[in-house]
Amino acid sequence: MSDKPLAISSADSRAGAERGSIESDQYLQFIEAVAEANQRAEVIVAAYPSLDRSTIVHTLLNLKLSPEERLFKSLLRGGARAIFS
Amino acid sequence: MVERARFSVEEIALLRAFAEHGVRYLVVGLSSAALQGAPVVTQDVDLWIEELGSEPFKAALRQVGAFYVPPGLAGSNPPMIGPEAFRLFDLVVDVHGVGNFADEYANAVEVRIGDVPLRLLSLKSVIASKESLGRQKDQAVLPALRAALTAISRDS
Repeated sequence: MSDKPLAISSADSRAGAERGSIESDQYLQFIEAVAEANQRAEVIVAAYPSLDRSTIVHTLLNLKLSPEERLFKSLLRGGARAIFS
Repeated sequence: MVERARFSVEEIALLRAFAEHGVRYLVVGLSSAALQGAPVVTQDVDLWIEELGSEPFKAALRQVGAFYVPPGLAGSNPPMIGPEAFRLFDLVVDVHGVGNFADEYANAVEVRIGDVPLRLLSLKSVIASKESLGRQKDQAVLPALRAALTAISRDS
């Protein structure tokens, strides 16, 4: 993971990558997915102000993973499974 | 790094054996919520078996070298699956605050792990079960589950 700050705008991040600061398709895909999730979360929170925006963003990003990946992300953070087990 | 984490060979073999032997079960609790996309943390996979201790259930376990430990056999133990290779799975006898097994099974969400089908207690029912429990840890996770349900509903 780069230690550069994450850009919110996918256009800005693309420009950064084109400059050669970060030459990673994976980076661009990640930034674009985060940007999309944030935009969609804003719409949902506007309709449901009591909901936690960060949780909605993480949920939308999880939906791009397979069910098995979602589960083991949860288990890893719960300390029930080592990364390379 | 998430991509490196998978069910073990033994764990997926057990789930496949359940399917082959017609053992009806639901993944419940936070593992069900996580499988559906909720960003929650859990430490095990809770299985609600329709007929715990039935012959198909035991046959599935035998097929993969596992065994059933009834409740109370080792002190005050809950029902368990052994040996250690299967410790990811916890057995749940009943789930508070939701319908009976048949009703929840009919409304379950199905996902696949490779060729193995998993039936999940719906996120709506996971929330209902947490709401019915007075434990602090269940109440604490409710806002995240409700937000996830809304996000998933809007995504589909």
